[in-house]
Amino acid sequence: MLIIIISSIIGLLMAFAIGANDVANSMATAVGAKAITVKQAVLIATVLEFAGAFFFGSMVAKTIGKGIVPLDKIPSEPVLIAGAISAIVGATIFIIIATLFELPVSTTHSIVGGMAGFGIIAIGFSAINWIKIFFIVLSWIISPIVGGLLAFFVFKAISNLILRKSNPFEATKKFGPYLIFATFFIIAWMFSQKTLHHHLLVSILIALGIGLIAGLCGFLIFRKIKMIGDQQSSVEKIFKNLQVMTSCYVALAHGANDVANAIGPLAIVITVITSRNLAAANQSSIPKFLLALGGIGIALGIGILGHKVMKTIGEKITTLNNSRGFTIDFSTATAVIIASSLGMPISSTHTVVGSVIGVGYARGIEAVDFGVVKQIFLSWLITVPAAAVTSGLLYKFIIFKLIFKLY
Amino acid sequence: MTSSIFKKLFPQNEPLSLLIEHALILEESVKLLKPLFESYFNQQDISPHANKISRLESQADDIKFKIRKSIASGIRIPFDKADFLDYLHNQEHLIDCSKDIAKKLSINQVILDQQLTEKIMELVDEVITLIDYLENAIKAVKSVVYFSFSNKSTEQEKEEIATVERYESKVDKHSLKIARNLYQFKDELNPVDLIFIESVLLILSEMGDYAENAADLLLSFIK
Repeated sequence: MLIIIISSIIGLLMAFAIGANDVANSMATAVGAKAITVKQAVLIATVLEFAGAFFFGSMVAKTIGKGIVPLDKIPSEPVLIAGAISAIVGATIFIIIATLFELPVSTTHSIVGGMAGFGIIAIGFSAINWIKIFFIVLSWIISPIVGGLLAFFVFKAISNLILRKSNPFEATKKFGPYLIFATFFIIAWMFSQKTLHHHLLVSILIALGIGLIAGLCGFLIFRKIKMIGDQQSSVEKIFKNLQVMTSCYVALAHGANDVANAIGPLAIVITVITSRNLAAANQSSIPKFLLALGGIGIALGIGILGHKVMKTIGEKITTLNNSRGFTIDFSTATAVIIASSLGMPISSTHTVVGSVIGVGYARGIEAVDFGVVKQIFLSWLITVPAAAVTSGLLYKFIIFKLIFKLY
Repeated sequence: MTSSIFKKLFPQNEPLSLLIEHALILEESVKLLKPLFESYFNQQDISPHANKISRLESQADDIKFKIRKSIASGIRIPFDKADFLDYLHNQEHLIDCSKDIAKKLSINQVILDQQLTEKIMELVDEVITLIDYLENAIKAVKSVVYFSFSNKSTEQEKEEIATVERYESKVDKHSLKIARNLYQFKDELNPVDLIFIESVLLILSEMGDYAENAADLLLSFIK
C-alpha cells in the first residue's frame, strides 16, 4: 500500500509538473496572439487536458508503460515496480537539471529514456524493445516535420482561399466553417476509432456528421458577424474565434499525449501490486482512474503554477496574430492527436516549434529564429541517454533496494 | 526551459516593426528641418533644433543595431535580407543628411534674398512631404505581409512607391531651379556663401535620391 501511495504521489507530481510547464507551451501561441486570456487558457486547459488524458491517453500510456521494456522480459515484480518508479524519478530529476540550464528538453523524451535506462541496468540491452525505441525516436523527428508541413500547407490554403482574396473578410466568413469542420472531424474520428473502438468506416461517418454539425453552427454564427474597421482587423476577429476553438483542440491533444508520461509507468506499478502478478500487468489496460489521476495532476499544475508560465511565454510572443496562431495551433494539435492515436509519445513543444517554422517558411511571420532547430537536435541527442543514466543509477543504487525491502 | 525556446523562436524585436520605428525617427528629424531653416533665415539660434536632430540620429543608430541583431543568421524574415539592409542604409543616410544640414548651417550664417529664402523653404516642405510618403510606403509593407503578398496589397504598395518616385522627381526639379536662381545672385553674394548654400541645396536634393532608392528597394520586398 505504501508503494502505491508513494508511486501515486510521484506520478501526480510529474503530471503536476507537466501541467505547470508543458501545457504553457501548448497554449502559449493562443495567449500570445491574444485569442484567449491567461485565465481562459487555464480554464480551457484544466477541462480539456483532463478530457484528453481521460479519453485519448491510454494508447501512449501503454507504449511508455509496456512498449519500451516488454513485461515478459522482467524477472520479478520488485524489479518492475522499482524500474517504473526509477524511470519517473530519473526523468523528473533530469528535467529539473535541464530546466536550470534552459535546455529545451521534452518530458516525453525523458520518460522514454528513463524507462530504457532502468531496463538496461536491471536486465541488459536485450531487455529493450529496440524496434519500438526506433519508431518512437523516428516519431520525434517526424512530428515537428509533420507539424511544419501541415502548418505550411494550412497557411498556404488560408492565404489562397482567404488572405489573398479581394475581400478577405467575406472569404473568412465563407471558409471559416470549413476550418471548424476539419477540426471537429479529426477529433471525432480519433475519438470514435481509438477511444470507442468503432470500425474505420463507422468512425469516419460519425466524424463527418459531427464535423458537418459544427461547421453549420460556425456558418450560422459567422454570417451574423459584420465588418468593423478595416479588412485586417475584421479578418482577425473571426480568426480570434477560430483560435479559441483550436486552443481547446491543442489542450485536448496535449492531454492525450502527455498524461502518459506520468501515468504509463505508474499504471504498471499499481497493476502489479494489486494483482501480484506480472502477467496480469501485461494483459491489463490502463485503468481509467489512473488516466483521471493524471488529468487531475495536469489540471492542478495548470491551476497552481501553469498560469504564471503561460503569462511569461505569452508576453514573449508578440509577433503572432490570430490567423497565424490558428494555423500553428491547428497543425500542432492535429499532429499530436494523430501521434497519440498511434500510441507515439511525441514532444508537443517540438511540434509547436515545427509548426511555427512551417508558417515562417510560408512567409507568414515577420521573424522566426530557425536556430531553435539546433537546440532541438541537441535535446534529441542528450535527453534519452541522460535520462536513461539517471534512471539506471537511481534504480541500481537506491530504488531497487528500497522497493525490495517494502515489497 | 520552455520560455527560452519561445523567446528564441520569436525574436523579441520584429525587424519590420523596427524598420518602421526607424522611419518614424527619420520623419521626426526631417520635420525639424523646417524650424531649423526658419531660425537660420531669421538669424536666430539654431542649436536647439540641431541638438534635437543629433539626439534623434543617436536613437536611430540604436534601432539600427537592434535591426541588425534581429536579422542575424538563422532568423528568417519574409524578405531578402540584403535588400532589407540596403533599405535601412538608405533610411540611415536620410537621417544623416538631416544631421549634416544642421551641422552645416551652424558653421556659417548667410543672409539671402527673401524670394530665394521662400523657395528654399518650399523645397524643405517638399522634402518633408517626400519622407512622409516614404514612411507610408514602408508602413504599407506590414499589410502586404499580413495579406500574404496578395495582388491587392502589392498593388497598393506599388502605388505608394510610385508616389514617392513621382514626388522625388518634383523635388529634384525644384532643387535644380533653386540652384539656378541662387547663381543669379552670384554678383551680390560672397562666392564662399554661394557655394555654401549650394552645398546645402545639394544635400536636400540627395535626400530625394535616397528616398527614391529606398522606395525602389521596397519593390523587392513585395516580390
